[in-house]
Amino acid sequence: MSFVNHNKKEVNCKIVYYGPGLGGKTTNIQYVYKKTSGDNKGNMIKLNTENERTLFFDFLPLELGEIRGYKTRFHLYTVPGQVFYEASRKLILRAVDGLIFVADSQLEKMESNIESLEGLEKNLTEQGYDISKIPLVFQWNKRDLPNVTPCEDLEKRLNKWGAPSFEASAVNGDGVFETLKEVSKLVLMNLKGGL
Amino acid sequence: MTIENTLLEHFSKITFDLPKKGLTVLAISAEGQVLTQMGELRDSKELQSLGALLAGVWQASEALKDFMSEEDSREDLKLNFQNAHSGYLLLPPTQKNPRIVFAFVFEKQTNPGKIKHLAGKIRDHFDEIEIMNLDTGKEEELLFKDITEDEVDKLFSFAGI
Repeated sequence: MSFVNHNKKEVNCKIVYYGPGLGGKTTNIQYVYKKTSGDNKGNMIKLNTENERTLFFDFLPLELGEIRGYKTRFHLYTVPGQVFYEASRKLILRAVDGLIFVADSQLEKMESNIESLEGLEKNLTEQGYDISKIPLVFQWNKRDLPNVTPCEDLEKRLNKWGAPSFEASAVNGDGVFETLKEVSKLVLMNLKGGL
Repeated sequence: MTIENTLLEHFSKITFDLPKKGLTVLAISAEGQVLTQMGELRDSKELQSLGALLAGVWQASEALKDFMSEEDSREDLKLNFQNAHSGYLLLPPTQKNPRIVFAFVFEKQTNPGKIKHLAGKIRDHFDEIEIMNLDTGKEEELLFKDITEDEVDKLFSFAGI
């Protein structure tokens, strides 16, 4: 749930990067961290396994400046992608304001993408959310690799809501900020008056 | 009155000998937003990280407890992670304030028992008083309903897009 503090003129929003394991969720926020100046960001927190896979979540707080006099803060979270961390993914989805689904474009990853997206829908439903009412953006990641599914097929198989989508190569930074900017806009447009 | 001011007003009513240094008391929404702080104040970026981590710890602990047994009441739970002088203590939300977690982050304390005593006082106080239902705003007007591309562009101008 977004937290609007009218007294201090601040809005705080939670954006979650969701998607299959090794799809590039952590790479996205690492790139955001790298390209954001110290004034705009806090510490990036990574709760990882020994082999650098996300165990619980990654977290990056961003302060993007003011909009109509309100200081805007975005809290970026990633979920762990590995199948057996379902319980952790459910926790991180609590009070989500916006979602970026990072799909792995490689041909052989289509089933993993579908499974992850089905898990997302189920987890949201269990917590009383309707995926069609939450700001959602798709990112077709790893477009730099040779064996990728055409974007039209990804749209057809995954994006049944007609949500905005972006091609990306997060490892090179392509599409990373475009995706974040779009979901941020949708989240801000969706913000209620608050406390 | 904002939730922040309401909380601070209640804090000021609770008489206790708060250590001057090395203790920060936080009220955090169950989802990790820091609602207010008192004691040794921390900067906003540090607070955001603390809120996310402390709420994550609390949520994971609750899920773990549910996994083990759903029968016991949650209200007498507490969670602490500390050595003889530093650490943190978390109190669960109360029935009247179901979405506020109180956290006590401390370091270099000669008497951490005093912090537990303070925690007990705060829990007793907020057991009796409903601060505010945080689940508000759902039917209110949109805050920025006619936001423009230019306004969003300005927020992301640092990224060169």
